[in-house]
Amino acid sequence: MILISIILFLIIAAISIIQLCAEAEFFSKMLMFFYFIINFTTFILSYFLFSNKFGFIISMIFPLIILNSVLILLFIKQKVKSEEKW
Amino acid sequence: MVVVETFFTIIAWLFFITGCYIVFSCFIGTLRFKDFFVRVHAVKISNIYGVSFILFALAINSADIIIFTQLVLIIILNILMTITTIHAICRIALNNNIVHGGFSRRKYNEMKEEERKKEEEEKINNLHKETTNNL
Repeated sequence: MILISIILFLIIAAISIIQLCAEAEFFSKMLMFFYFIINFTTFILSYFLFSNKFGFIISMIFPLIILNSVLILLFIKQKVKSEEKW
Repeated sequence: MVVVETFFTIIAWLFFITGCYIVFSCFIGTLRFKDFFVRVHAVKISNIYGVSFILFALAINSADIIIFTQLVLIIILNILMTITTIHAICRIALNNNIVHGGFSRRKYNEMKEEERKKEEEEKINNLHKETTNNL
């Protein structure tokens, strides 16, 4: 079960980062970035469950998930500011 | 005891298969849909239901109360974070006049203006050809 989820999330993360590079619009890019980070985080989570290091690494996963949303909000805020200046 | 373990294993596999189906179908939707807000919906469903179902299946299957608690906490955090981020992205996209199709209103107007200019040029070219033929 864990192995299947590792493969699934790895494939999705890999294809979503290719899609992220191919996107033209800024908001679509941000959406794909969010999607990639979530899938990548879940991939890391299931990998550490698989290798029995889950308790040790859990303290790193929580800030990573929160950092994701903060990063996206910062990117969007920066973009909106630059649009206003333009 | 064996009956209880089998019951939990069946429940875990049911959650896992449902989660895999949701994640995979939403992934295809995210790649193929053209409209921005429809893609947002696909990403939201994938994160809230798909990832949560898979993590819950892994939590049931782990048979350790600490890992179970941590995974349930991660599920709750994931749901809250997804709702917040999707709300922020949609709100800022709406404030920046993103219309259906994923284009901003300014870019949409520019595209319409280019189309209008091309049509005018074609009309002028046709008129020029007609006049030269008549002469």
